[in-house]
Amino acid sequence: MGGEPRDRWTGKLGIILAVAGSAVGLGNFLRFPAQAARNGGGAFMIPYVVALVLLGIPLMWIEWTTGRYGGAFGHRTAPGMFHRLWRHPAIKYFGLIGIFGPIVIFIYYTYIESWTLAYAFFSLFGEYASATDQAAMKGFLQSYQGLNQTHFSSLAVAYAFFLATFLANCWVLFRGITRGIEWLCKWAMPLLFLIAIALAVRVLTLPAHPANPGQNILNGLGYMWNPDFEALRNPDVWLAAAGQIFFTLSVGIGVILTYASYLSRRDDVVLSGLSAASANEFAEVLLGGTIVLPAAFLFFGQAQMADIAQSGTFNLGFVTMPLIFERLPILRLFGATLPTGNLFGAAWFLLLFLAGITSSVSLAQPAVAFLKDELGITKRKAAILFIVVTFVLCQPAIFFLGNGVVDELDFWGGTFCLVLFATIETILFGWFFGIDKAWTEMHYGADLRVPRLYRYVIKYVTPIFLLVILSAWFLQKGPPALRPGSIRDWPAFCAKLRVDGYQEGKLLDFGDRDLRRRVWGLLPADARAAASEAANAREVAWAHKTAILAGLNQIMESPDLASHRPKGLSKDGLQQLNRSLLQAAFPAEIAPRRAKIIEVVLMVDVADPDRPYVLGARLMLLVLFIGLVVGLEIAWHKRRDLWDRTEPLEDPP
Amino acid sequence: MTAAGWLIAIGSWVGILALNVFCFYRFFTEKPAEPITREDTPPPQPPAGCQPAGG
Repeated sequence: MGGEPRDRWTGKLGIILAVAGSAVGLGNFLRFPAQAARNGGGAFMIPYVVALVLLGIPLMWIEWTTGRYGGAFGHRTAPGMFHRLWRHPAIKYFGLIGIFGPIVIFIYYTYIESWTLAYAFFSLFGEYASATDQAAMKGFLQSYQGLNQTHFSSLAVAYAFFLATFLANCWVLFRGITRGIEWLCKWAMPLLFLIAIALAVRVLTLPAHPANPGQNILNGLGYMWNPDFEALRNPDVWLAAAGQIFFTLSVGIGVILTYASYLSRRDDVVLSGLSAASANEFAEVLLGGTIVLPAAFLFFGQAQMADIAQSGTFNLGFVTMPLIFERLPILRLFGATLPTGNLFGAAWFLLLFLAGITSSVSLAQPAVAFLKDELGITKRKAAILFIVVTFVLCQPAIFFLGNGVVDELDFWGGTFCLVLFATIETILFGWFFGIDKAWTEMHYGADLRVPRLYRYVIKYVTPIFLLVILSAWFLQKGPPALRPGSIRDWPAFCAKLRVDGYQEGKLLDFGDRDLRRRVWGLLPADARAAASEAANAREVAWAHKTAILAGLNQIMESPDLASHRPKGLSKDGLQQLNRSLLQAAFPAEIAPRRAKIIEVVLMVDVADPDRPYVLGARLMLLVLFIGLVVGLEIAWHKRRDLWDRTEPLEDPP
Repeated sequence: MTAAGWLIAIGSWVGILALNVFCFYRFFTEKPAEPITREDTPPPQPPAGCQPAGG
């Protein structure tokens, strides 16, 4: 546009690495092993593979095909592509989700990415060496995030690393597709795989724990891979596997659509899409499944593994892993002492940084492409506008991290938009564009023939799968205000707890409904009555879970649990309720769950101060979406030639 | 590590490695797929298509 040459990938390898770079992220190395360990170990691979075959790979092909098809008409983003799939005047607005979602993720992802860069330096120079256990390392992370001042007096260091990371992203964006993203991915992805393989080899060759020979790498692999087939009877395990496939392949974001739009009409999408997916699986299952949990088992032993696996992605990456690298044996080589812990620690965080930056630049591309190609402004101006807007939007995520802002952004951008967008595009592709036409389009220039069975998978199975996930996630992970009978509604929550295993009770994570009933049954009558009568309970802020969990041990010892009380519940009533719940949690069979119970009981109260921040974040997102709608309206009227085009643009020779 | 654990781990690793080898072998040998036949789909049309309203 504007006389600029059309962007193109210089080769198919470029786009495969770019899509793989977008897909391979922190989740491959941190989220996957934790999900597998929590959901049946090796047995998790059964639903995982089913979801890959029925959901992940079909979505890959749908997005590659739609992207290339839209690109042939000069569209680089979902609004125009959806318009090509179905000429309905409203459908382009749904396509905006494919620009809005990536921007929202970019806003907080860039900040998290900057932590990995910072930790690479910290690791190299031994900055966190004084933190020798989980609590101390968690304190270091929180201090870095500005949540306490034990190691860092302000956010200055974190902000400096954020600026460095943001500028690195800007530099790649300014250089465009070929000289920016393709160049980055051609260097970063091989380097990422090399580092990951080196780390995996190091982990697999670690000697057993000297004091406890049972803590060895084989048993560590066993912790990760030994199957618990009973878990397959739990629908949540199947849902978790589908969710993992969804997140790991970067489908439903809109990025692949934009990347594929730079393909030529003659380029293959079938083999390329499958190759990108398989490269991502290599990083996830072979490397991600080998590094984190087996190493954690070796150093921390079976007793702490349940807590480690449950501690969440960030704790695994920024708390557990640094502790592991600190404990790596020192290597003596030709008389010299090599601080292998520092080196492998730096390599680990460099690996995460590379995984992060190849993902973050991809998240920026739909918005930049929308500004450039739909609104017709120059590449440079599009990049500048994107950078200025997102820089402003990043600030709440940095300064109000502890107030639930990032969790709010993650819900809308990283969960809700993904599933909704994927569901819409799949239905459009298989039903409105039509499976016959879609099938032909998919095979145009293909280097590989898709089995005919996939015609039915794409048309029937994948959309149904997505609708089930969308419904289940809405109930489980929706913001409290949107979930029926959530903890915000304390009496309803308690009533649900009493009746059966309501989804919200999943937070209690008791494992079975009988146990939940039993906990309720253990409550004294007055506590039950108090809970049932309580009103005006407050909203849950997800960010506080981490902080609360960090202080659980101290809280458990606290004589006065009543200081954490939901509004509307009398002090005595709450004290009784808390104590009863805690007592109920003490029996040996549910002891590991007590943290969750306390979390649920306590977070009701501490959440309230965050409500303005959460509402502010929602307002920010609303303004952003309205801005995109206005931009689309301008594009629609300004570039009618593009929208009304009936013949594809000619490929450059 | 139990036998079942080994079986699943090695099965997963081999399966994914095989998929990668297959994809990148095909990728570098540039072997085009067989064209779609009439029995499979309607005759391929030029991609032009403006989809009529309502799809």
